[in-house]
Amino acid sequence: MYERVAVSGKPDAAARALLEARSPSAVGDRIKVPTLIMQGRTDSLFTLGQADAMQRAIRKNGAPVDVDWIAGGHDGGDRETARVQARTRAWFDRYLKGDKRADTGPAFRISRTGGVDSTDGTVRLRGASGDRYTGLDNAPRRLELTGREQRFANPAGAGPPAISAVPGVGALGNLSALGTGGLSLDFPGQYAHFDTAPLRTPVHLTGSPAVTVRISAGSPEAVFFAKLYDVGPDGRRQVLPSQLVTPYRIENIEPDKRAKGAEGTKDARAGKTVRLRLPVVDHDFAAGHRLRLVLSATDLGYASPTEPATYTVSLGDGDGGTSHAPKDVGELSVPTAPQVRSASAPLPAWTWALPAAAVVIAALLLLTTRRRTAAPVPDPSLADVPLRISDLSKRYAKSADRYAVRELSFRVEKGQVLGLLGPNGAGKTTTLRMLMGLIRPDEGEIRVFGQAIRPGAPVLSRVGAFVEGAGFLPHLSGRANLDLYWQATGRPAADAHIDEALEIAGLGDALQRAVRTYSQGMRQRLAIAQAMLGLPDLLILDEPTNGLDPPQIREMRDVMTRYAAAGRTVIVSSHLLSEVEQSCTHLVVMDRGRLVQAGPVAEIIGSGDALLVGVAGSEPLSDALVEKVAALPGVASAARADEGLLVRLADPDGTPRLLADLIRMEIPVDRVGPHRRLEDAFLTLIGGDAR
Amino acid sequence: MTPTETAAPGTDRKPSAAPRPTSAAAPGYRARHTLPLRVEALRQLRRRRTLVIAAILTLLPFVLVTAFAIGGDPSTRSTTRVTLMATATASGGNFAATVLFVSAGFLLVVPVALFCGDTVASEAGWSSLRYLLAAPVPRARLLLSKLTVGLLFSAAAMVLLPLVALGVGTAAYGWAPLQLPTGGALPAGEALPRLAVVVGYIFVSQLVTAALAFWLSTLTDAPLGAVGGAVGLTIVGNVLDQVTALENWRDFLPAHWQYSWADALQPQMEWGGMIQGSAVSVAYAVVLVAMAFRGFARKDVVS
Repeated sequence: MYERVAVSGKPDAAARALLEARSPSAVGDRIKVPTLIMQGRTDSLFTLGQADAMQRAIRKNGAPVDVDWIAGGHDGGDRETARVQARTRAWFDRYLKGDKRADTGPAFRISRTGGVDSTDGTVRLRGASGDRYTGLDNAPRRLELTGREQRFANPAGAGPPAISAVPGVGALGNLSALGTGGLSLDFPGQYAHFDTAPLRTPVHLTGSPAVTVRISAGSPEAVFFAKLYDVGPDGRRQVLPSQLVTPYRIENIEPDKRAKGAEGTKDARAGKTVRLRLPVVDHDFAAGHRLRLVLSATDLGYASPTEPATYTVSLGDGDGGTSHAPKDVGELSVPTAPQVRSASAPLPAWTWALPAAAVVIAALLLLTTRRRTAAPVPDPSLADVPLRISDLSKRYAKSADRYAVRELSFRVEKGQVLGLLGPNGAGKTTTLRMLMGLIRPDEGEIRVFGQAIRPGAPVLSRVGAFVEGAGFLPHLSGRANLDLYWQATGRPAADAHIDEALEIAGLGDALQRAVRTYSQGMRQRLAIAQAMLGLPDLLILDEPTNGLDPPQIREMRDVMTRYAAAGRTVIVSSHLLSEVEQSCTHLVVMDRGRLVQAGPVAEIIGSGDALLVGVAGSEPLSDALVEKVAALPGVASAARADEGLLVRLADPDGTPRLLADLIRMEIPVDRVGPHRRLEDAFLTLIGGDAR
Repeated sequence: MTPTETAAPGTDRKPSAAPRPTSAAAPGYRARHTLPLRVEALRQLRRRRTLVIAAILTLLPFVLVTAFAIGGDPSTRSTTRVTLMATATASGGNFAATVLFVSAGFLLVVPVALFCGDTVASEAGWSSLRYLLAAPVPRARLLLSKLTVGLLFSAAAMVLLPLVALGVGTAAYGWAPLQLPTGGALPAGEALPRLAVVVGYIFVSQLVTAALAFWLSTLTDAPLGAVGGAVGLTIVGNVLDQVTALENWRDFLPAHWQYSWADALQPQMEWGGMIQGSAVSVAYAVVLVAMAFRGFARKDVVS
């Protein structure tokens, strides 16, 4: 049957009878069960118009009918398999299983294109739904079409054909709904077109537009394809919604009775007025766009007559064709379905859950930070004590027994210049870092003016520090660095006393240069000036004389002495002891993290139990001999010194006895005197084997 | 943390005066006033990297205009993919959108990673961090100021680029409706808010990079480590997003949503992708920032 019809191009009576018997229309009046009709929007084989016919037939029987226009179809596109199956299952659950809670979905649903998914480039779909099926002629907008009478021809052999839907290559048309335009082509001379004016307001077409035209032809029969384009504001870019066309075969056209070539007047009765129904589509015509009706003699998707023919078409009025005069203006009826609204695409639940969970996690992270919340209470009895360190211990990270500082306790009183002495690695800098709140002690506490030190403790605003070298922004000038540093403290500019600090730095014009051009000594001085900004009550200087030349060192000593004389307190750490000896009033000696001795400088130096034994001759004493001396009764320790032997006595009055012992051991004693050099005293204190 | 901000008013502030009556903090010190945003911005503003970024972002539109002038109209070239490139020279708005398109993937990631990743680490590298902390700027306050300024600078970079592009593009191609790559056009008046949405979304989607860089910045003393780490992880995210076998797991990759701003340049504004992308980005960012604050509050500053 198909072959017969395909060859002739026309169905014969037997074919018609067979098709009608097999069509749903043959049984439509007997379907009385709830029906779900799903039809593809891009389907030139089974069109939405057929779905409409089914709906009307079944609806007449009183059963509920839902209509779902899915995106894809036989021409291609997204078949929405998952959604279609889900809805079908819900439908069966509801009406076969009797599950009253099953959601059968809206009475009318259209899958509209919501643009391109920017994450993977696929077309995004959005469902629009209405609570009733609106049919194909709902709420038509009437738009005026204009265009003069036009002639178009069917070329012999019906080629080349215009292109709309290409069966099997449906992907070409996929983007038409987006407005990119799939592939659609019309060949000049093979089509007639009529345009509307640019739309003032957008029109959303849902259904089958209709227009009345009058067509005449040289033959009693005309075959053509009607389609409606969406034409962009530039007039060139045009889009064929869903790539659909409606094929027409008009029969019994009144022939033109006049002789050929007699132009001018026309036979008023020639031709035929027909009401054309255009393809059922759902398409949004934006404001500024035009609608263009095109009647084309050929189409790639269809077999059309190969006999050449010429057609003349003009716009007819919509009143059934009582007037036969050709007109330049016609009316296009554009059905709409305003009650079918797009629901915004549902966002997955994680869209809200994820940030909420993140906030909870963040809150937990932050709240659990403050485990050691209870801020130590200020100790009013220590309010005048610049610094008290008690039982301070700090282990190196991930180390069980390597202590940087161990059980350190000492106290600094107002007005003191305290020297913190120790060889490299004694824990001085670690102690100072803990004092600045930069690292946390493992045990013990530090109190500055009675306030416990914690990271960012406000009392640190009364402490000025220079620890382990300068820290400046290299791209800024020295002056800008100091200014911004002070502004960063948030304190009043008047409190900075920047001029006094700058005087100490003594940088002169170099202040205006970027810090990266500074020498180490200049940075050092600038950093000390920064530590002195605001004239802090407690000034901490770590190795302040590194990189300074001798006059500057002497000046630094004076600065420290003067600073403390005003009632403030200075802590100086150093391993170069000679100048500390001259500027400090008190001394804390550390070795390997522990406190060795603390007290006034005079007391430590002049304690009298350290003796320097001068030895004659250039030969240094042998190790065995030094050990022998250390083993003598009344001797705490003995160490080799430059000029001889440094001996610490357990008994302050044991000098004569030591002398006798030394002579008995035949050591060539040159002289014996109390040792006053701090550096040597220091070596004695730490047992001489610090290095 | 500081119940003791009792700076006694009327305290003698003369330098020569004897030490002040004891109080917890120095007069005039308030933890909430430390490291104001203005000061932090000034500290960062004149850095070479800031100036270089600004220069690159300002020059890029000029470079692209020149490239189009040399290479010809991109719309005449046949492309199978729908891209903004094809419409770049249609109008000033199109040009700005195209500039965003070419730079959003990587070029705009770098300033964000740099401004947020370098901010703490470079202070540690300069040793100025310990002086700020001993000033004392409370640690949370320091991070807050630095993060805010870092984000402000990042936002400025993102606004600067399309603004310059819009100006340059308008001068070169005129003020016309924005031709959408998917067809249709937006009137210029409507296109500007759309472009603003694009910039806003790019900023939000970069929050995850910013937070990652910031967190790394609190971990390391090497600024390049923090910046490079953030950029590197962003690239890893992009690579993972290409692995389609991950299917829906890719939804949780920030890189999966990096071009969702293109939804604002479709005929119908589509918010879904941008909302989901923002949700992913903000979620990661919040956790990463919290980790930064937590880690830094407990950290021993030894730089």
